[in-house]
Amino acid sequence: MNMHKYEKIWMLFGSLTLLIFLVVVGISAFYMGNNPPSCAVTLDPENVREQEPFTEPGLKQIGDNEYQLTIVTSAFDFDVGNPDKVVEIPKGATVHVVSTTTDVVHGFEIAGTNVNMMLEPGYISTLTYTFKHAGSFTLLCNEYCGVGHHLMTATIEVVE
Amino acid sequence: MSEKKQEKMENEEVDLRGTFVSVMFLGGFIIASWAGVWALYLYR
Repeated sequence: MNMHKYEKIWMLFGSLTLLIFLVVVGISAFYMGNNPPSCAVTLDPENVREQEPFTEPGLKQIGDNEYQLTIVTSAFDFDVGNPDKVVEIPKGATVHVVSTTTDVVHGFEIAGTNVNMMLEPGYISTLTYTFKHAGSFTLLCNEYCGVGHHLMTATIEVVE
Repeated sequence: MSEKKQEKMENEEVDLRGTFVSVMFLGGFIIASWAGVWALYLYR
């Protein structure tokens, strides 16, 4: 088979690009340990609030500038541990978000940040994020969950 | 001239410069988009 010189060049270019992207994915998964937010950690969805850590939702300091944010999600509410649905986080803090749903599938997105995951009944979703920028962020549900879906929000205040 | 040789000559004669530029342009666009999304991810 004879191929045009240019054809050889762009096939090599395409193959190398594919190889580079695959290596990036491999390094991310196997060397840096990046997992999907829900990585087969399960719980009984029937009595979520009786199981740790969901007995006490809210922000808890677990180390130097390190926090765990536990949120119990249900239609159409993010239980962040207070009725105002506001969480105050110091700027620069590393937060381990732990959340699950008591009923249907919900979305968990802090708009304007990389915090974006799906909550499925029976699964615990976790995600670690460092809040680099101060400001007020909206935590919202981005999976249609019922008639009150658009009212399902909470506020994350990142303070200096 | 055998049929094979003739085919080879025709193949080399095709002007693919425009195609080459287009393909590389598309490849560059894909890489630039990827880098853009990655930069956004790192910034946020």
